[in-house]
Amino acid sequence: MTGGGRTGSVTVFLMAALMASAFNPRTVFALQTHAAPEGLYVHQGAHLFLIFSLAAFLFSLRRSRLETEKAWRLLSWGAFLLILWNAWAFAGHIAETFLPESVFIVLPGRTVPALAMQSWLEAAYYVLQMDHLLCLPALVFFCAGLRKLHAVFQENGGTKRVRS
Amino acid sequence: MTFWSLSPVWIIDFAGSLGMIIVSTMCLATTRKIIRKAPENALANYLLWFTGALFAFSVSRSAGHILKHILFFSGHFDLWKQLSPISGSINTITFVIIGSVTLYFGRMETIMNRMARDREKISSFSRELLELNKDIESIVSERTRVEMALRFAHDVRNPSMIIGGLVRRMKKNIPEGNPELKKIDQIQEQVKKLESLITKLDLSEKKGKWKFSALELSALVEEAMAAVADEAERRGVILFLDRAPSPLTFQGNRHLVKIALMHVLRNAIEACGSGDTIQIVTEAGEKTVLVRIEDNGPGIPPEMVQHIFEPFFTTGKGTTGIGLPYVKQIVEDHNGSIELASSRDKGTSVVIVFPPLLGELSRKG
Repeated sequence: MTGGGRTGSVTVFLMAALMASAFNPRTVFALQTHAAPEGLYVHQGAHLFLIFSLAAFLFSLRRSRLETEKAWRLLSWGAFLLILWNAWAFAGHIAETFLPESVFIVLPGRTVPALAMQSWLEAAYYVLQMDHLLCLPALVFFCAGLRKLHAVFQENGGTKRVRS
Repeated sequence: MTFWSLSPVWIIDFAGSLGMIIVSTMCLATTRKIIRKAPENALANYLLWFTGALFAFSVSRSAGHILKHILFFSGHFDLWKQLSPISGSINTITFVIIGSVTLYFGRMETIMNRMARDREKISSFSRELLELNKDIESIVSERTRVEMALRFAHDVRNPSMIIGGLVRRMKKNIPEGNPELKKIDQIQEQVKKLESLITKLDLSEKKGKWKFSALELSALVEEAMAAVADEAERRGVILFLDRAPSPLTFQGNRHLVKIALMHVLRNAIEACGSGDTIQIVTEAGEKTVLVRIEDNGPGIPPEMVQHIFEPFFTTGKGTTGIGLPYVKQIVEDHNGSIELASSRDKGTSVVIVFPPLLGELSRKG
């Protein structure tokens, strides 16, 4: 087959595909549908991105030796706890997806549901749901670090290198 | 089968959500205080972005969690199933914002360090300029005083010599034994004293009284190189120092010698192009200390080399044309010497030599 003949075949195929898609829109893949799991994937991806960026933050602090200063040491602890929280929440979302609705049971005379402990997965979900035990201390460390930085700024008016 | 009540989880979730809102608000308030204190500080602005993102994340997440509990206990939990995706999406967006702001910290830190280094450099240059200004003021005042003294000595010397001559001539005409001869001798003696005083004044004033101290040539060369390093970097010129292994001490004025070295280095940098090299060598000569500055730039035309140390002569590249004559004067004031050799397309070499001790100029400041 000559080069011109091959080009002709491709053109015929593309024209046929266009015609087919015009008469049968369900087979067209140009528009991607956004099904429910996609939101979860994006959310989990955001958790991973946050872990990466906070790790980069810690690495920058370590490299710059700012970590030896009290304010930055407090901020780095905050970042470290936030990394742990991200991993914790990431695992919590995974556990949630595997958990069937049937394990949530409202016991007679109670308003708040209980969890039927059928396997380690329910136990893991139960513990992983208490993620505020990590993210709240992380924020407390950030707040303490910022207050220390504020004290340093008050001392030198932000004109010198920020040391504490 | 065991049942674990979700009450503890919900209590921690509710209290934690409230705590998140409170603490993140405190973070934002603290950062606002910092930004009020230093509104133009790069770090303060960065912190505002960071805590702003943290606040948005905490509030959106916690508000969602609290709303979920409220809707559950008020019997409208079905509404939460509609609101949940919106709350989750906002959370995801805030994660990405915090991540992006945090990721920028590395770059931010580099900029901050660069600014701190530049600030320290400017402050150091400013201190040196102040000291230099003081030295120049002292030199100018000293030179003015010396010139006035020399002029006075010159003006007084002539009349005293004339008086001396006339007195000697008068003495020849007075016969021996004349009582006036004794008075003539006394006048002659006083004139000699006056001449001797003028000669002493002449010599002592020519010496001057600059601030001289023991200096180390290699260290001074390094300081001068540091001062012109940025300029060299901008022009793509490579500075290379071959430092003498032992200290090269001599007596001199630190600021003046440094200025002389900086002038020579700047001239070399201006003459060179990108990729050219300036090699600086410090070494001990025979009873001397010297620095050799060699570049592989385009060189100076031979007709210009012989006039290079003349005041107001310029190659056309410089700005004032007083640089190298000034350098020569400084070096000669230190009892040193400067030589320049250049050949077209091969480069220029400047050798500055100082005596290790300043001979008759050895004074300590």
